[in-house]
Amino acid sequence: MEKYAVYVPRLVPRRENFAPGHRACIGCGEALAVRLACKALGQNVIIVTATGCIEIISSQLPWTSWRVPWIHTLFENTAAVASGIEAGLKAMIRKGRRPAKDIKVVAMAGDGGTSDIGVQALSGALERGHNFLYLCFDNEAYMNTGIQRSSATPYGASTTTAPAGKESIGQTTWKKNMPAIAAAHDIPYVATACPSYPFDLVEKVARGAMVSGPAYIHIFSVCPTGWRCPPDLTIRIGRLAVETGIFPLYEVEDGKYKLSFDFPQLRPVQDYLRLQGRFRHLSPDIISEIQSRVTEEYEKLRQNVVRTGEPNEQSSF
Amino acid sequence: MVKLTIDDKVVEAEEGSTILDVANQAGIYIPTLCSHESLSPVGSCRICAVEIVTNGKSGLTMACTYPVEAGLEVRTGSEKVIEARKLAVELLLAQRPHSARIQELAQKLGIEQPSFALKGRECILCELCVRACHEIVGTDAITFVAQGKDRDTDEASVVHSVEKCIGCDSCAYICPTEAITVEDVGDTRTINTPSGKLEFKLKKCKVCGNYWAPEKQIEYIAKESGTSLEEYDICPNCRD
Amino acid sequence: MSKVVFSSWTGKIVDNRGLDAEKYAEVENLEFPLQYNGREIEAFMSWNGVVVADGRVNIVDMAYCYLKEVQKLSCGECNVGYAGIKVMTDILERISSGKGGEEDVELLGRLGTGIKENAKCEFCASAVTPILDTIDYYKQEYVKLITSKQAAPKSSYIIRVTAPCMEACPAHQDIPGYMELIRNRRFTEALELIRKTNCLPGVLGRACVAFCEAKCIRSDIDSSIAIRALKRVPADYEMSSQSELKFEKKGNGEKVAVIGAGPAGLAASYNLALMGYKVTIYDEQPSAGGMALVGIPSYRLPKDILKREVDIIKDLGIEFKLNTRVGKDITLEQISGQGFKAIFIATGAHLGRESDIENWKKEYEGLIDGIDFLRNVNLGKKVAPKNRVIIVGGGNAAVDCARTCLRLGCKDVTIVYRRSRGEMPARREEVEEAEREGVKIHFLALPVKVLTEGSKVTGAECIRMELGEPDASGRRRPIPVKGSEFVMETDMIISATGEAPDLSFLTGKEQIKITEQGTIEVEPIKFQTGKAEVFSGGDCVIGPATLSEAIAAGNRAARSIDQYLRTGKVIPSDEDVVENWLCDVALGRERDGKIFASEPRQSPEQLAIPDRLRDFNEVEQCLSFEAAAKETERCLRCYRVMLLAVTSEK
Repeated sequence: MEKYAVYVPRLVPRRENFAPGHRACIGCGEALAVRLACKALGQNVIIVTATGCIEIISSQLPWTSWRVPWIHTLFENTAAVASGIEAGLKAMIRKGRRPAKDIKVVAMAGDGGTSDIGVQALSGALERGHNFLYLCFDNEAYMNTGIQRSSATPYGASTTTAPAGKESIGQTTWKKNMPAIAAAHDIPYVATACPSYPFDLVEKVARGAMVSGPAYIHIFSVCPTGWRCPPDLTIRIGRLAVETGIFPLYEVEDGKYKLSFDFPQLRPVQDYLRLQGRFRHLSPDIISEIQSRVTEEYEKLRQNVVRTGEPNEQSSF
Repeated sequence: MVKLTIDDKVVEAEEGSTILDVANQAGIYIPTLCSHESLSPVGSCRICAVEIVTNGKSGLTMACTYPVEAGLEVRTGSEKVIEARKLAVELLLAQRPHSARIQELAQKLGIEQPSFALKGRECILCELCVRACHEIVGTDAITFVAQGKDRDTDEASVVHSVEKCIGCDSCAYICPTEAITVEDVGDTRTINTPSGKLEFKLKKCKVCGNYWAPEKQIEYIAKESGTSLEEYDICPNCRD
Repeated sequence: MSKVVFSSWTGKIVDNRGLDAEKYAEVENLEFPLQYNGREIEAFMSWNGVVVADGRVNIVDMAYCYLKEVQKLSCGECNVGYAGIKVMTDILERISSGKGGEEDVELLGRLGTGIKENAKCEFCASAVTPILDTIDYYKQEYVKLITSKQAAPKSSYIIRVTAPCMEACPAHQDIPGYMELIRNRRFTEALELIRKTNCLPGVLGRACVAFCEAKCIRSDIDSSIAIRALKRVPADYEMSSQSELKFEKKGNGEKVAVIGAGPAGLAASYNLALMGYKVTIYDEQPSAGGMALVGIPSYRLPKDILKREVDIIKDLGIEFKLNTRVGKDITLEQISGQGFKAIFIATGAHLGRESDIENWKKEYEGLIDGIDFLRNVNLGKKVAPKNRVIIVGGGNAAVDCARTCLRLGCKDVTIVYRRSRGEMPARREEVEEAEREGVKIHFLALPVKVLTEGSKVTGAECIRMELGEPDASGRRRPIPVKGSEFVMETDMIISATGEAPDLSFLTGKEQIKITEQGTIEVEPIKFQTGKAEVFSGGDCVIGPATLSEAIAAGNRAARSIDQYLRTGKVIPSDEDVVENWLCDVALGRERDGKIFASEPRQSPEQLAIPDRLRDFNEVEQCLSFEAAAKETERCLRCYRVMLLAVTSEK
């Protein structure tokens, strides 16, 4: 359990910059994550959103959930539009056409719009070093259009375009490691977060927004509709993802790895998989394959921490 | 409702609200450090200075504590205000140069280096932790040390009462200068404060074996909520 | 009216530097003398400005020593105050030790202005004023030290820290100090601080007239701080939490006798016992407290509070000889013969002034002196209530009698006072509460004759008064209006027109002089009578006054007695002298400019009227901790630091 959990809810900013009344599914982890992120961001932002679940549910004409300036981009060019806005603001301030007010550009996209079709624009924006924050809300498929697979879909998950059955186990490739790709661009700040650890998420988004330069945060968004799990288990499943090591929470600050939560012993991945319909078909063999890969990846992450970080900075659960 | 002017803009505000509330509503930025919307204001950092004219007198006051009055005139960006803010931030920067919050404030005001030296300190006496512990948590475990009659402001900082502290870490969460930090290692939570360490034994979940919260905190919550201690033998993750 | 080299006092600049002494412009607003205990004042620095009488003092050294004292009082509750003053002090240290840098003077000015405008409370903001004056007018002194890299010549100074409330308090309680401690919920420390100068905090927290509140600077903004009610909070907290008070028990020293266990006697004993003397107190009553016991009714001061505070004093090892009247059960001479090295007379003023109403005879049923009446009630003697009562007088005693009568069951209680409401010496809150409880007040009237039937009182013949020219007390003199006589029917008349000391225990052979007013004569500041080892203070010296003045007298007399016993002489210390010298210095806000938001005063809750009159239940309740914290937030911390540079004695 997150260490601040008991009293800190009363210390988190109360204003809802992402207004309720949007059309998200019951139990949507992504909407929760967006709401928390918006609390951390405050009002001096311009939010740039790709096509996807969040864009659709929050902006059905004539209503909007966005209490801050917001623009909807094409599916593939969120990072590019964000770059343009950032550069434009800089120029206008420099030319005295705008008062020098601190406005952060924040891009929001799903896993499809980030690790698939959006990766080109993202890589460019990160390489050019724009001062913006990129939030990827990862629900592990193209959920808006009906649960199609993406490069972020996990191994063994069943989707409509990679269904499980007699011939296939569903997704046959391992989940693309987007945070590592972002980190490979040597940007000042990369992090992973999950709304099941709300204060950790809020802190990370705040930190990312304060960075001068590109920052990338990958946010695990449980989707009960697409993952075929009960909508009241969103928070639980998010926690299990972290506790099994499937989605570890960490930061990479100027190249230094730091685990946000560590466990003396990771829970077996079975605890996480068995709650979701998309994994219902998995045989014990596949499950143990997943288990060994997860353990291996987690060990690699731990080694990164040791290699780059200060040993004392590691906080454990 | 009360009518007042802020930066030549006429606004209406609810009685009992502060200038800072009004500024936030009107989208006018006033930097703050020691104020928090869920805690009562104290005006200790002196950064949210604004210039007001009231009853024929003009001068500086704190936006976070001054209540709105009919006919009040407020300036949030005059030269006097900027000078006052710069001095306040410079003094803090000289005392706690490594704090990210203070650096951010300094950057926004264009301060690179303070023009004077001060003894470094961790706790800047902003009272956020004191207020959080008193108003939100309710255990009143934090007070100041080296204050009162034998005060020595060089040595003053906060101190936690070992009897009253339940290890909930709200203080660490809200401290803007990381003077209070928390480490959970194995079955022990250590809270590092400017005046010493406190250690708490963490409770182990019967089901998953993870250590999930300090036992003292659980006892306090069980007492306050009138629930039995057995209900906390299983951590929230493992409860059905 | 004085001639000095430079003055910026109250902001009016008089700069005589470079002029011949005859051509000096006069400074008109210096309300204090430039002599101090026979020595010349060379310079004076304080919140209201700088005064330089002669050029010998180095202004930079003075500024540094002044700010060093200021820094000790900086509360730490605002960043600009504590950190800003610290930087300024560091800079002044550098400059005055010859290590100043070029930018230092400008930096000093910038910090001073910043603190003046942006500090949180009155203290730091006003304390930097004289420093800014020196930068404006004595800049070359700073520059000289910086360029020459020489250290400033040092002087020694007399330092006094006070505040308007502290000066108004006869005992000079550190009020801003305990305000701060209460605000931070450090009740035990607050109590320790209060006890340093006041051994009866629970008593005074209920019954003190609160001279401090009349001078509280907060009343310029909204209303004065409820200092008296706040003083009670730590005392009550100690009682309810039953925390142990820590005292250093001494008592192996010389013997001192104290006559009178009233506030003055208790204060002197308390201080003397803490200094190591073996004290014996004599008192004629069955328990200690003096006027606090026999004069103040229990609805204002519950008896158990007084007893507890007396017990704390007793626990210091003081011997109480109660039920012992000096002059009757034992004489002063006998006491002297018992090996006491010093005696402190604090017998108070318990004799009611004889009523000059015609036909006032003791044998009539229904006539009583106010002091006797209150004493009887307070000592638990049964007093049968009469239906209708008139009380003559307008002081606290009269109001106490009136409210006591209501509680005894009297249905018709009227105070008759010869002047108008504005001149009533009683505490205004007392008068208001009395009226709310049902006491009627007849102003501008005076009973002149007692009307009787047989041995019972049936009424009082009264005459109306009008106000003429002011008399010696400054109040307008009441003049009877001829032909305006009228009758008030009543069953009882209580005369509460004043008290006087009963000095009948003095035989006249003791070398102790008595003044024209009938009080014991003592040397000012020293409290020493004509007989070297006999000291005196309290109501028996100044006439009927207040609890706080009595405690102040006890405190200071104890210091004198201690000095006498150790050295055989009493020479007032600098602390004593400056206390008196300061009385002439007004502690105003001419140069303070801070704006403070208005906040309502937190008043303690009063018991509902029906609940009050049933019994002698305490009327005023203690402020809750939350209310106390809120009220102390209003305190402006008006500490004033003063630095005097005085020529050394030859």
